[in-house]
Amino acid sequence: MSSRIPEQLKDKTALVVGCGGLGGYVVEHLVRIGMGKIIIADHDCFCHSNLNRQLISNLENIGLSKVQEAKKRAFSINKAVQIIPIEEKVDKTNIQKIAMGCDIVFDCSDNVPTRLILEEYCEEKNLPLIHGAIGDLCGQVAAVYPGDRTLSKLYKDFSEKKLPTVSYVPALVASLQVSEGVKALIGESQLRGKTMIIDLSTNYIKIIGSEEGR
Amino acid sequence: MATVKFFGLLRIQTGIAEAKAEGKTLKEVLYDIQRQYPSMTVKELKKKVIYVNGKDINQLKFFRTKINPNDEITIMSPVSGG
Repeated sequence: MSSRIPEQLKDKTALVVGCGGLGGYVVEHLVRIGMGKIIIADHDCFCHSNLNRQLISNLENIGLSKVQEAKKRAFSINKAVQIIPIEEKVDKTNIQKIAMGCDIVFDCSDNVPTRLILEEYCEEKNLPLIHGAIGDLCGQVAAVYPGDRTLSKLYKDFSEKKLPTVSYVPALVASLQVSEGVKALIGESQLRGKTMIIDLSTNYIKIIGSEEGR
Repeated sequence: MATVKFFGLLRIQTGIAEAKAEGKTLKEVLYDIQRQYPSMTVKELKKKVIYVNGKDINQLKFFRTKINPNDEITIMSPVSGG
């Protein structure tokens, strides 16, 4: 199956929202597996505190645009990939324009309001949304399809709290996101309507949720 | 006794990843958790996303869901960083 993946992805377009810890690894995987076109949205620039976990950051690109640096790195790996860097923060007013023509959305955002905007947009456009989130040694991955409303349920009573993390947490969660995203593009994700939760402090990994919500 | 797993912010803030708790219903289990760990109140626990054997309690009988000794209850407070 894996040898056929590049052929099946070459005409597909992915939107990656957020180009930090998760987004950097997601873009890297998508470039290397042969995704045809990748739209990357992030308004931020790299800073020193990103170096411990954000793949694309390095000592040479501090202060530079994350999405432009992602484009440079992508072309250094795969010249056939089309990269559209968007230096904007995704919100309700620009999501239609940014996501135009995409087949799948990867949620690599760092805040709940943006995540819920993506869920609403994907619901409306009938697109799969591959959610990833990290904090400390924990992470979660979900494949959200129209009707699931997984993120609205998960974040129903949520107060935002920024938690530091380490490099292997986004690497793991982003890899799982891309794995489920590929399945969603060429078939159906096994995490449809479900959430995989991972706690590396205890090696607790569990898939929660059921299919009744479909 | 049922096994209760704490995930995400709840685990990070309390430092407790797992507990054993007694109760015939989920509500009774939550009261047992509060008794063992007073920092985790029933009022706060009820606001979390709770699953019994991987199933959302909204698809079961909420806090009246019957609990068996071998059941695994997951109480989560999702992370949100990227």
